[in-house]
Amino acid sequence: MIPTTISIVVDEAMIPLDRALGVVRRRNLRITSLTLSPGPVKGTTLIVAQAAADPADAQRLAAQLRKLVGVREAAVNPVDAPPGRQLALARLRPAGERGRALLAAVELAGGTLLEAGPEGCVVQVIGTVPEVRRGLTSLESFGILDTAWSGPVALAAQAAPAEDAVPTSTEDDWS
Amino acid sequence: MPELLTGAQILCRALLDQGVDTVFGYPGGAIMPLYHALPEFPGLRHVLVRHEQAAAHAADGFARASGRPGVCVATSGPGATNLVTGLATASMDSSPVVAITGQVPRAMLGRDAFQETDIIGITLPITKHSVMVQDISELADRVHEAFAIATEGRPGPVLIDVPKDVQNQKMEWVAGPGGGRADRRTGGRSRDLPPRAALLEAARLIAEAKRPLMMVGHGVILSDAYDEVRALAERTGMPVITTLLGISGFSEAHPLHLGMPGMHGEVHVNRAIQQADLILAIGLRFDDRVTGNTAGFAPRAKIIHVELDPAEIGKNVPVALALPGDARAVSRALLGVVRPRWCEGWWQEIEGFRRSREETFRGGITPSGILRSIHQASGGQASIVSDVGQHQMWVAKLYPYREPNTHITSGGLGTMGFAVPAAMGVQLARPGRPVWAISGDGGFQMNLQEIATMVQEQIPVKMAVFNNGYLGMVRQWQQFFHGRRYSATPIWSPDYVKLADAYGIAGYRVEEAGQIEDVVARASAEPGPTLVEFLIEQEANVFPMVPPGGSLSESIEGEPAAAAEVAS
Repeated sequence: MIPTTISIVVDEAMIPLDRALGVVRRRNLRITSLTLSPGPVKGTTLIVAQAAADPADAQRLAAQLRKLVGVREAAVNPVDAPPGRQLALARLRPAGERGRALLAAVELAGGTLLEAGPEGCVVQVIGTVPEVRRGLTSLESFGILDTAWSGPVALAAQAAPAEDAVPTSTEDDWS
Repeated sequence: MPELLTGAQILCRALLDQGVDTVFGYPGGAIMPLYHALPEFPGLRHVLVRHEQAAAHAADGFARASGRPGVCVATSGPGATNLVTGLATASMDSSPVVAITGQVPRAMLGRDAFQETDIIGITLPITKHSVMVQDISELADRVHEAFAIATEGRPGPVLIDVPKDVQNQKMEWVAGPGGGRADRRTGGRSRDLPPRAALLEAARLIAEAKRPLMMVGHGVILSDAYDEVRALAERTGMPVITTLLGISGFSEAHPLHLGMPGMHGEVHVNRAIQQADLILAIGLRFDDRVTGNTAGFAPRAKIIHVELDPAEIGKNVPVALALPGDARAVSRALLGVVRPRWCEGWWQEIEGFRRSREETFRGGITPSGILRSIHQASGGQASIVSDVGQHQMWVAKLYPYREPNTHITSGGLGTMGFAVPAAMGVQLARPGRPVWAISGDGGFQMNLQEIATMVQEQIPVKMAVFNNGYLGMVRQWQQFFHGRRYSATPIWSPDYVKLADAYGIAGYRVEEAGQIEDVVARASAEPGPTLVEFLIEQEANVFPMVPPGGSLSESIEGEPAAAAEVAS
């Protein structure tokens, strides 16, 4: 048994979430941590669980998860398996007049602007730990209020937003 | 031209669009709008059952026999929860059942309303998919989606929960192209094949094996792969073993057919597995009843696993070569690469494993005698639906299955009470062909109320009850492993002949062997549902038996000298 990270991207709805967690639970794995966060594309939720698992059992779990209706992607990896990709969410101050600059900075950071409004902005950055750190550092000038890291996850390299994953605001909103 | 339809009417239209002609159900408050609409759709025959569990089993039997999704309907709350066992049965055996449940109005959800249950939550682990329809505008799409999911890939049950107010909503309905007909034989089957290199490797392994075996499971039946599997077996000369749910996936009259493996598999079959150096497994999941202790399963064999569901490959036993895909498609592909061969020495070795066994039954009423008579009286055309227990093993091993998909039973869940209602579904899927529901006295009493359904709906199932006054399989375990402490296994039955008369159907009792053939013939000739009770040996046991935790190399072949306690 080794510490294993189980990453599941599900449609953003209760039933797929319940069903996916049910499969994890029924495999009799001892879950040591569980986080939920917005998924890599709009309309999805990312579940990251850590559990002690036999490597073969973990791979079969991934196969069982992938066949669930509502699960878009599932991966399992030993916790210390390189390369360790992470997902970080950063809450920033309202961009105000610096909206365009923020958008440019987010793009440079390889991130995604998930939300933008008068209360503030939420940016998602995915990559290796150094990449995510660099991305967040580049956003510091915009005033980072809070960050949350997912821990090691396994996501498809092309975790780029789908066509419908548009930010809630556009450049026009800043002008 | 648009019509103004209610949600209930749209639901009926969508079912018709999916080719549904029969639904099994029971009305109630939350599903009343659907029942109000049903008479407007004469193309939908509604079979009123006497318990919603029977509706689910009947839908399951219909699906297994027809290849089309079976549909069951229930109201909210207890109606829906009564479907649970049937849905779990269908889930374990990969049967495409679509369950439609009424639900309290949307405004009442979450308030512990009268007959409100979270049926989606309750059935999450036992359904392939489930959905609560939130608005009439999505109702038809959810129905079409449900049928597609139920039948695509590995089939399974799907539940659609429809709040009552959604059933009562109205909208302008414009007939569209429809969802098309969901059928596991066509729409849902994957055409993907393993890489050619893997197929060639399989051919190489088969060619080099000295003791090859083919194992045929339920996937062969689900895929209608009979011809391809038979051709593959004949090309390679491999002995063919059929799992419990694979029975009737390969004709037992075929000289290559060997028998059933596992806990109650014949000794020569299990020994063949233990001696095999190659196993080509097609459409099975290596259930523990097949493998026994997995650490000791087929110790010398490389396993080639042809299986549609990748999550099953390597789950219970390690495989040397995975061939993910549909049983029919992959078998056809293998036919293109394997070379003809024959293993005379191996066949002679297997013959040496065979055992003869003498068993004594009271009055000479043997399971084999009963089943032979049924086969004879039906001209070999009967569909046999068995319940769960000792009789299930006798039915599996002793009836001569020659026609495809004529053995139907609850394998994975082992649901007692399955046979009688499932047989109703099988009969409606196969009108004009004989259907026998064979139960023990325990399982028969679980759903015998469905005799009323058969009478009202004129479903001419023939029911056989192997009455030994015990919950036989449990009693056998108590005899072998629990010091003959028959705790809660002696079971009383009513007079079944009088019961049949009370239901207005023909009833017979067989008390000695000389009556079997004549009674079975008369029962078979009855135009309507018929009940035949066979009084069989009370403490007869099913042999051989691999004890729990044992490997296929360990078989109990006769009465144990001393019963021992064993951990469960």
